[in-house]
Amino acid sequence: MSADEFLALGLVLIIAMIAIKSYLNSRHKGCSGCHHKCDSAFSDKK
Amino acid sequence: MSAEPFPVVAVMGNPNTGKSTLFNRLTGMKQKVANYPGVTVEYHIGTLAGEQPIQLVDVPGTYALAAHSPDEMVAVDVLAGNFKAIEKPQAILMVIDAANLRRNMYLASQVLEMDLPVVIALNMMDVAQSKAITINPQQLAKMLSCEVIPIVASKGKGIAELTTALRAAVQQKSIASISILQDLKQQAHDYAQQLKPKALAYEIERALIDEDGYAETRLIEKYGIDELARLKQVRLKIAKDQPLAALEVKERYHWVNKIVDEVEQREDIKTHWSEHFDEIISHPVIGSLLFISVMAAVFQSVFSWATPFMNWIDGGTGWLISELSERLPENALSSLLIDGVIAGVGSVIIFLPQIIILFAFIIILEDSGYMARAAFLVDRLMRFCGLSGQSFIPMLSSFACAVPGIMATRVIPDSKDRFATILAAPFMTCSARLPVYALLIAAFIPKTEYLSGFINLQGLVLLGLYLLGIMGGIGTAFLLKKTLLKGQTPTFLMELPPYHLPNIKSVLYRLLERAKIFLKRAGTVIFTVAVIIWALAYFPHSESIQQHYEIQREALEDESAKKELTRIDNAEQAALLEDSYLGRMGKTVEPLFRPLGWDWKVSAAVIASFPAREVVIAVLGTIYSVGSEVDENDKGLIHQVQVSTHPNGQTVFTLPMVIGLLLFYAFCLQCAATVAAIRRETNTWRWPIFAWVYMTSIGYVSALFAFQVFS
Repeated sequence: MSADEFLALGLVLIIAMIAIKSYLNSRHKGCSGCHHKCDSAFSDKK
Repeated sequence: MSAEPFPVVAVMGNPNTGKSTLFNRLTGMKQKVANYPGVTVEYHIGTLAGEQPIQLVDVPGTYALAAHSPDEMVAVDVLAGNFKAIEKPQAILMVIDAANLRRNMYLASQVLEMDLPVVIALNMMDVAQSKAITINPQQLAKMLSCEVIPIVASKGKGIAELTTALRAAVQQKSIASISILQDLKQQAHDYAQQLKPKALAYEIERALIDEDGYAETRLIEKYGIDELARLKQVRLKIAKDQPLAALEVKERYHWVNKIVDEVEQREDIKTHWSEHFDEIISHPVIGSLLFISVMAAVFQSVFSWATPFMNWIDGGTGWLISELSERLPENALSSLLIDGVIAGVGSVIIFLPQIIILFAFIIILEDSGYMARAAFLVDRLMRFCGLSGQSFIPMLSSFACAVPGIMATRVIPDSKDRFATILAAPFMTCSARLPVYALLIAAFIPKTEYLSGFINLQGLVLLGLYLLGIMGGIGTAFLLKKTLLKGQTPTFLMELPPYHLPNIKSVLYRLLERAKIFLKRAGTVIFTVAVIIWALAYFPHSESIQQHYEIQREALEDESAKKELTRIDNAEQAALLEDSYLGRMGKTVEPLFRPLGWDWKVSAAVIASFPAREVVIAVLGTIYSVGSEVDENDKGLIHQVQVSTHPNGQTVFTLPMVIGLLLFYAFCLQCAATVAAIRRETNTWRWPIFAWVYMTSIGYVSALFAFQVFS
């Protein structure tokens, strides 16, 4: 694998990891990941 | 937010009182949208600017403060200050439709008992006037001991006076609350004081009145099952043998009638023009034909008006790709940027103009009051399949996205109706289906025009697909209500709001919101998928394949062999793509989809789009970009799919195959968020699995039928 291929693959993996992490975070806050805009700051009751 | 020191004012009112228009007028663009925790209800929070800013919270429109369901409880919770993110309101802005004072005063009677300063905005005074209704605001203010400001929110009349009254209300120290059910109030107060920890008297009041409701459930959950017996005891003490809810209605209407009879005068006038108009619009035949014509005109415009804007975006993307291709060295990194990110995300963003135009029409039709009439028409259809008009709003919401639609079914009290609506909602054509339809229609349906260009075939096909979605949903509900979810059709009452010209500012704000959602998704989900698909379509990028074609290239001697060089380059790209991980995956699943006329590229794109259906566009964009012809300038995805061929030279996207693909996308449940929402709302995996298998099977069989029969 050439250096540029290695770099490109690394970038793809980082992007995928960020996406998975943010998805898991949103799931934790009770979001189903739909199109609907909502604010996770509102997901806890007093 | 909660950290800000601004005083909070809750904006309340019945549905269709112009509450949102007034809210937008008061806050301008200084607002944000959020969802109340644990419920489906969306609300707006905004700031009334000035030297003394006030935070306004738009409470969902309601006819009464009741607490039967979690959604209904939202209004009570906002007023009680039960939400972490919203401070307890210091005052209430009660919006009242001046033309329907009697009905609106019921909620006002509850709000006025909340021990908070209240300002009443007597909205739509112009409509009241046109109906020869005269209201005396000064007398009303005196009787209610609060400020009453006559306004016309849509024209900005009375807004300055209302703002002054609001600023005074948040400073107000002494409150002259009314008390209609004194005994109940006292009993609720004593009950709340005895609980440990103490509860709010108003929550106890609701738990006492709304038997078997959410407030009661919540009280029992918090303080134990013994409270049920205690509640029953208190109810018996107050209302003897009649239900407390009936007593509340009786007492409140007695109070309301006394007030309204004093302050309102109605002259008998001839039938209002809108009533004549309603007779035509809600006529079973004329109304239905009119509705179909309106929708047909909308879909025509989606195609005709969006084209120039789409060409601009397409041109911009093409220019960016050619500039970057010239300037960047040819390697994996530049391919990731050009073929993955720009081609993938760009192929989805191009559909923004169509989405904006479609939603502009839907929002205008909603704001003008026409959509409520359409709901009335559809109610008959709903009754036919065993559902009521209550199911219409969730289904209408599903045209934007099935998830809020499914969540909106919480307002349906009957669980069988609710499940039937939940399973019907994903059939409605959501905004994610639109780009798929738009791509295939633009590429394969001719722009044949009828009636001197007023109607074109492309718009008709899109309308047909929308109708197909509706039929799929209604048919599913019908089948379910006749078999698995057999039950009685519930009754449903619906109010027709008055006709009015939509407020441009409000329409623009909602459109901007819709565009932001689409672009955010393109920048996050679509971007990630495009990048991953690029990697799958690029790697392993076999050296042996490259060497094989390099030898062929070196064998070429002069410039005259340029055409041959292009052929070799194309063959190399195709071989690398076929050898890629995506190619291998596509080939593995291809046999399953071969009877539908799909090649491995389409099969791979469809499989990749199961988590989110619009991803198919980005995947096709990336696949065709990675394997694109190197001698041609980028002509966009539409051109690429038109010229795509099987290895034997046959065209892949034939009309029967395209019809099949459209049917597949119309019926198939390709949305992980919807599956998750069904799971959450039905509290079992049985229904989401059933929905997925059922919808995917219908999609597959329809596509198979279309390809095999029409080929």
